[in-house]
Amino acid sequence: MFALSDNKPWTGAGVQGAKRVAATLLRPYAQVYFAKSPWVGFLFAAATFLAPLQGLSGLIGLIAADLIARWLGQPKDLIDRGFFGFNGLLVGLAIGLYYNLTVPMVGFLVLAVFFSVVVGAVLHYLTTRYIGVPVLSTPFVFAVWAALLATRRFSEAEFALEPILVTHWGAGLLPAGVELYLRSLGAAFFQLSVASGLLVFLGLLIFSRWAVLLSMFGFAGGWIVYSAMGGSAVDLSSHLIGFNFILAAVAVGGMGIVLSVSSIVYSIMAGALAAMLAAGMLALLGPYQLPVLAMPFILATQLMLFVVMVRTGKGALELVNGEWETPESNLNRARYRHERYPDPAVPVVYLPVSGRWMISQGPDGEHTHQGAWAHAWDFEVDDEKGKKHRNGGTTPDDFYAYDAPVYAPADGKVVRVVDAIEDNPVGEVDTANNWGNLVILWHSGQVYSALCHLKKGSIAVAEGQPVVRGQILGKLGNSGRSPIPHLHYQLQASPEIGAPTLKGEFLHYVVENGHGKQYVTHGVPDLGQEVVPLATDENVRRAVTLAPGREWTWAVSRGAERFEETWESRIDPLGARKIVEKRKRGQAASLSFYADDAYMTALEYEGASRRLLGLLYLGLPRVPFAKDHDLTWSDNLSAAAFLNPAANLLRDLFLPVRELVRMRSHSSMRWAEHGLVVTTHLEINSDLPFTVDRAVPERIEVHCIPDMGPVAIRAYRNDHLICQADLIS
Amino acid sequence: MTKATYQKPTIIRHQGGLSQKFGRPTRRASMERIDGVPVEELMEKYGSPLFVFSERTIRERYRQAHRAFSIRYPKVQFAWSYKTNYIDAICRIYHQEGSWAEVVSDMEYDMARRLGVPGNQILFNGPLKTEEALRRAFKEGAHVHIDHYDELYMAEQVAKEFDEPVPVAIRVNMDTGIYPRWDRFGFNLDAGEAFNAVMRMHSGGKLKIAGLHSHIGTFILDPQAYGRAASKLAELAKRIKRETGEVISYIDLGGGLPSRSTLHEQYAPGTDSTPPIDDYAAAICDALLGAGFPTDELPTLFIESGRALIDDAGTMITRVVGNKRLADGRRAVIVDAGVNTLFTSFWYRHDILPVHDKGGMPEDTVIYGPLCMNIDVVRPSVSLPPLSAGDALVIRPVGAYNVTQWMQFIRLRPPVVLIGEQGEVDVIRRAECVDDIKGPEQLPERFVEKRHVRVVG
Repeated sequence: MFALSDNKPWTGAGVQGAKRVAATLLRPYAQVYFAKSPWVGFLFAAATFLAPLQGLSGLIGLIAADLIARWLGQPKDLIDRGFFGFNGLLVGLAIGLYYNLTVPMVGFLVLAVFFSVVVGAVLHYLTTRYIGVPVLSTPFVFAVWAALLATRRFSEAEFALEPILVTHWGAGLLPAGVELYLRSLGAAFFQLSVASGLLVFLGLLIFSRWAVLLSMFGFAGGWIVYSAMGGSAVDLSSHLIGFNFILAAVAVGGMGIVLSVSSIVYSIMAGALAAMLAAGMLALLGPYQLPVLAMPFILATQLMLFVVMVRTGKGALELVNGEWETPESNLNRARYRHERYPDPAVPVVYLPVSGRWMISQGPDGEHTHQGAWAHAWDFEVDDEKGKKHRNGGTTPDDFYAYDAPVYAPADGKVVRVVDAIEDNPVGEVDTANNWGNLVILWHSGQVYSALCHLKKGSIAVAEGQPVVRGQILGKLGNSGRSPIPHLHYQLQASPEIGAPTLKGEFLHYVVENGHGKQYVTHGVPDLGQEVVPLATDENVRRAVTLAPGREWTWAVSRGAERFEETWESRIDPLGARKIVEKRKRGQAASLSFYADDAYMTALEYEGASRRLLGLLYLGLPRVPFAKDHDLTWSDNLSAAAFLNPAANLLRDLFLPVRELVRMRSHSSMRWAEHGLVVTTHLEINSDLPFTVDRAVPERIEVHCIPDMGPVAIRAYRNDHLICQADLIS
Repeated sequence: MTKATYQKPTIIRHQGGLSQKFGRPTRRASMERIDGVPVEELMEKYGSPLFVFSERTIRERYRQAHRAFSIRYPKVQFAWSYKTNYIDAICRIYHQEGSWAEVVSDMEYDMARRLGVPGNQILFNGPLKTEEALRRAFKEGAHVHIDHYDELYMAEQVAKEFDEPVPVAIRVNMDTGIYPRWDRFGFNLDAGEAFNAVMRMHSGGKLKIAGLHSHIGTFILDPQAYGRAASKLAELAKRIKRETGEVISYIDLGGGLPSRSTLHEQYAPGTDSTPPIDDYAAAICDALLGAGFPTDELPTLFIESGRALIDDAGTMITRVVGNKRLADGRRAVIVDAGVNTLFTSFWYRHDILPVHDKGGMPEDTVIYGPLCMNIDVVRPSVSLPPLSAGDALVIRPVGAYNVTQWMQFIRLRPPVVLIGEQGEVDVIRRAECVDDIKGPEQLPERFVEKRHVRVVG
């Protein structure tokens, strides 16, 4: 029925091995410009081999560094990332530039590389542990300086006096500025020719268009400093310090710091700062006949990242969280993290009540939530007709909210209890004991909760007692400045009664209004909203669970195509989870996701737009494990993986200022005969004048069965089935 | 201007207007509209008798009750008691509101499944569950509440077919300080039988205790009885945790909450004497919250209330067929709805109101139904103004049990309509016809009359 498996399994272990070796060898080349792709590495490697002997020297350095690091049992992820390899490569290239590659010199090179590995291992340990900024190519700089100084006393070292032929290839064909830029690009690999620079440029272009732009901004920044200050042209054209401007600009403009208008300004400043440092170091090191190498770039980058790391306010710049990818994807990830997940700097708690409550005063409310006490909520209960009480509402007891239990909004410790203030008669307030009976909890650091206006004698916890989220603290009353029974809740930074409030958010609640029930993962309930804590259902969790180790094999029919797709759910040692498409060859798709006891959410999809896994990303952007089946929820998704190349290019270029293609999802779920069905409608708003999406449906249904996860996926466009997938094992 | 109703001259004691210590003995009330829809318009369009349900009242009562429980307890789940009213449209409203289904037979189980309720949202009660029904319930993840030892043994047999122990609950009866004390459903707690049943289940290893269920009685007017039941079940749950390590994930306090109807034996009207549902919620929730469960092991509270939610939403429209003077001088009125359609007449003193009060002195009246049976009395005595044949009356509340316990005895069952929240009226069960009754019958061949067909020409 299905014309299956056009992918023939790779039988030769040799082919696999060769591919692995190629990846190991090419990654360090790419790493010089923060890239990973073997193609980029290949172009960079080609640039170095335009001077074959020097290229060979670099390769020897790379291989030696890799082997020594493995031999010394250095962290595998560091080796795989090419950290040792690229430092060894640079050592090799430098020594290959300065010296003739004699037999003793090769030995000496290995020794220098060994030194770079040792320095690299030590520095990496120290900086990750104590400082947090990347080591970059510091080991290479130290190793080359050490080698250059040592060779003064070693007569076997023969300076390469023969001019390298290729140096002049392509010279004079391009405008001077362009030529200087290209040669500076190549100089990161100790290449002096325009041709090499062009190859490096191509590699960089493949890696990231924004990296190319940043490299130009940084180069311009440094160059302006030099020309404006009347710096020596020799520094730029012969010492080729320009690559320092470029690397510093790329590193702080989009790799270590999220790309934005501010980060572009920052990258120009990085280029300028690198220029100043380079000039200074040339002066400092000149008497010792030492080149500055990459030191200006390293210093500028580490300092400029560190200063952002230790900021205490929000500031204009944001550090990239997690591994550096490309400026575009770093930004893409950061933007959608802001839109989709809570800010780690803002404390989050759960609603301190059960059932349906109305926010009678929200943050910046009109009565009392003002100034230093702006971030607070008042909770009351009302019925469908807006009434807050039965009978006449003349006694607190008539009010629905009165005597309702109040729960700990998060784990913590009780730091303050007041329990002896009488309830007010309805309509009267006790301003002498403004906050009434209350419980103050300490959650963590400088985060405290205050729950006020409780009922006299109802408090069920004692000062010093640890409490868990959801534990009953007491009952709602009408004490303090409370004319009618209500709960006042605020987060604060200190344990005193009446301390100023702290901005915070609630997790996992449902907003009910006339139009239905909207699930909110995190947010700030506002005046007049009816909110209910999310009630979870274990069956939903089990149905959308993507348990680690589980495999799915699908029969997919998409238009005329019929294919099989196999997924595997994986978890890494840190707990990060993803579903990976298992393929015999080619780039496999992957979908990272997060799940806890309240919801799951898809994080990022990487892969081709037409793979089934992409539909899972679009179809299950987020699922609360809700007991209620009539909830809806919305999400903003990155359309990056589903755009055609032209749209993607334009989107990437505009991304720091504007998202050109916005994709919004609206989901709901229901229990059907065979299990849980999550339906997601997708809505794309594009500013581009042409069709942007490939294979993006308008509606997706994902059918899930407890303990099995997804078992069927249907995608529709204009109500026509465009893709159908069923689990076959 | 309506003409005053003609009454045959009679001498009766004057009752109207004079107050005694409880206030005026009679009140004059009429009810012209249901949810804004004129009663006479309904009767004209759908005939009489007619059951009318109000979607607005159903939702309002549900939300009221749900609010009472949910603001007092973090994990509350209502399950709609199918036996109280299992008309699809009615059940659907409750399911829309978030209710699960509570069924007491395989027929009701089928009804719930037919309506799209997933197995894991069905509570399966009742003293009779067939082996096949158990198997299906286990397979579909329904919450089975075991009633007696023989059922327990059968459940264990069926559970052997499953790889994992099947989670079930047991039904528990106990003394909650009320009379009558219901001890026919489930295992007795006070005698230790309930705990023994759990231990039996635990040592068998085929079933896993997941919940405790009780149904302490019906129309319980003492909220504290529920508080005591909840405390006792909580104690049992903690003992089970202590001795078997099994965490009880839910406690089900069944139904039995009273509506605002008035029982025959009650003196004051139900609207005055029935405690508000908040009192029941407070008694139950306080007992469970105060029982000392660890926060992460707090059981879910299931409530299977039926009558308290639906009763007020149902009104019956009936028509006066005739007036009569009984031999003892009492006035009698015959209406077209009798105990066949209004089964709850046996339990309640329903409120009976004229649609229009056309004046005249109210008089204690017997309301008879249309059956040719002496027991067909809808109200033995109710004060009504003079009525003439064809006048419409409304009887309320009739939302609970009537449309499940009604009989087609002698007469066909009337239609049921639902007034939507926007005032739209839909038939949710059409009037029966003779084919509905005769359809299942089969006449053996030998009784079939041979008709002679004469061929002309």
